[in-house]
Amino acid sequence: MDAGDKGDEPELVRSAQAGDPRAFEVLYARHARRVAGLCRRLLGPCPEVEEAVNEVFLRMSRSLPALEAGRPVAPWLLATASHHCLNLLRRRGLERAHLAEPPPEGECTAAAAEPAPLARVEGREQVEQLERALDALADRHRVVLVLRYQRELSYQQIAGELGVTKQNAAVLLHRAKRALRGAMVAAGGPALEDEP
Amino acid sequence: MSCLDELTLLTFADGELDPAGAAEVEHHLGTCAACRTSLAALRAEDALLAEAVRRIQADAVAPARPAAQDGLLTLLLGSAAALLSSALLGEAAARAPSWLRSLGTGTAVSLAFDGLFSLEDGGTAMITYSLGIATAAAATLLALLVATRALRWGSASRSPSLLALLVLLAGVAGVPAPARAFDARHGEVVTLGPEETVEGRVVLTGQRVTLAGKVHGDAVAAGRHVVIRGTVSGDLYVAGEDVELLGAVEGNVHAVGGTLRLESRVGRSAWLAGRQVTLTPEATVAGDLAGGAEQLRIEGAVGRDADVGGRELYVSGSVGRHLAAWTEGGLVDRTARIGGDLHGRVPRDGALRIADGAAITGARDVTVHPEMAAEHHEGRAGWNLFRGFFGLLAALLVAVVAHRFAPGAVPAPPSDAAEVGRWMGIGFILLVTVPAACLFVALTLFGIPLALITFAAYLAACYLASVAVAVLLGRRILRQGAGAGRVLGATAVGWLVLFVVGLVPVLGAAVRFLALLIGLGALYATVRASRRGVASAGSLLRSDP
Repeated sequence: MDAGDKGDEPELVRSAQAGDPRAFEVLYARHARRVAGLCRRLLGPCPEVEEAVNEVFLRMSRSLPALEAGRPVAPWLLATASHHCLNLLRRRGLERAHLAEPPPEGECTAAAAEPAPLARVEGREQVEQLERALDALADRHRVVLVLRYQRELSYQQIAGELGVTKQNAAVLLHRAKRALRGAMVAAGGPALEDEP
Repeated sequence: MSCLDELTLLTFADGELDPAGAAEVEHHLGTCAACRTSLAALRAEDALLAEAVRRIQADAVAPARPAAQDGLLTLLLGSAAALLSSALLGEAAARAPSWLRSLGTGTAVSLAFDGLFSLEDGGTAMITYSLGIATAAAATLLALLVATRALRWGSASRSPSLLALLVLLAGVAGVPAPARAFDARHGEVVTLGPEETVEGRVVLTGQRVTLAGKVHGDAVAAGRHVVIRGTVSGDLYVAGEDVELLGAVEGNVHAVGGTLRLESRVGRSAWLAGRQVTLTPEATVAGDLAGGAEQLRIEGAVGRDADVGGRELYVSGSVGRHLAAWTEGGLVDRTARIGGDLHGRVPRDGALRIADGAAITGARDVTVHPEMAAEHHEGRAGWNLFRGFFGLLAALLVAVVAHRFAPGAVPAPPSDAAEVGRWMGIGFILLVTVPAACLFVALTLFGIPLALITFAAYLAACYLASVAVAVLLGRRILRQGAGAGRVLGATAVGWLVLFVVGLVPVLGAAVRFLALLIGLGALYATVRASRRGVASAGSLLRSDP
């Protein structure tokens, strides 16, 4: 995954395409961690994570002939992983109707009562706390945060992944952040910054 | 223009606002310090989340492939360490001075009897009992911990299998230690012939068990039909459907049976429980007698006190000191001789008749407790209190030790109802298969100590399961995350709720059973998940709108 060992990736892909199982193994070893991380984040703590990772690499092995050897594999893998996980989540009841929350109307006046933005997440324990808070969020909120911060997608891309409008994606992201702050406060989380 | 709402600011901060909107926002920011502050806070949060997610990701799971082997290895290492520690404990116990040993296994059994049948002794009994359980649990935890650490060290040095082998070897070498300590015989018909003399402890199990020889030590006999004809110089533990005790026992007798007939001379005290328990006229018990049965007959002689409870009670023998009797219908016959007081507790007047000829030196004190007829467990209230108190202390100790030294071993709350269901299924399978496996393993001679140790670990796991459920329940009630330091409160609350619910007659048993299943399943899932490296994460706060 490091920059150092990415240089040989085109060759690895070519070898894998030629049917060399060891090249595929190397690709797996290199990217499985990141794919697993994304699946784990998107799906939350559940047994399906393992299967999801296997499914992603199974798809990769099927799609090998179509892969362009010159291009890095990671984006393809991550996109496939998030598609697959979102499908799993939809099967779990993540409805498009839920995702397309109506834009807030006159909601901004109540914003004063909302938890303030997180001010700091330092130290292992707080990171773990954040991790738990993420897992505890409703699927639609967790997913949008993961897409934004782990996959670093734009609003438009998030909207595309989730099949909603860009405006919906923005609202969803906003709500997800508020839910996350609330969860962190409930968990007695890090000090919140009221006014700097 | 009024101040900007957070959604607009957020969209602006992310550079996702359309040019017209962005210009408007910029214009407002130029005039409004409050919104500039909010924007800065949002940007800081953005950077923070990006950074935190990167860190979480760096910690994220390794791929799942080697997990199965890892889990198996840990299981092996854990059992090996548990095996080793039990073996060492057994050896240490065998060499300990007698006063210390009296706190060990022998007493644990008698304590169980104490708890059930000698209610006044419940207090002291429960202290040692709970401590014993807590110690066993702590030893198991320690063993698991050592195994986990060893595993990490092992994979770092790339020789986990060698390490596993070494630990296993050490464990196996430790096995004969407890095996040496007794002579075990098992089979359809097991007989220790009249000509045989055994030095040390003897364990006889089978369909038809006869002990006719001499045992210099303790004897344990269990079977469908058990006859003890010989002499036992230590204590005697017997369980069976049909038990006859005819020989002489110099120590204590602990006997449980459907039909139980005691004709022996017993050097010390006797704890007897069964459907039908009879002390024949030939029987003498030099110490105390504690007995509970549906039909209890005392025709022989008891040297000191007799504490007995029976739906039907008949006394025609002698009791050296006091006789305390709980009964729904009893007769103290005219041949009865009681050296002290007679304390009777009956549900209604006239339920305990005392014949004219009966000699009672002390007071006759028969009290009527109408509630006895309805509630047979009334007398256990004090015991329950002690059990509750010391059980709670033990649970807190276990929870704190687990949280401090092996935080990963504290199960994460279930993500949904389906997970609880899964846990229950796994728990049920474990609950049923482990004893069955032990039974199979115990069929071979070498397997007996292995089965005993596995079974001990299984009992410890059952106990840990109840603590785990208490922690989960407590957190659920207190709506806590898995934060540090709060485990005490959560454990106390959860444990007390379970305990109180457990006291309810029928529902309590059902709840405790379900809790056991869930706890076992949760422990199993946790052990599996922690090996897989998937950070166990709390979903307690999950609140679907």
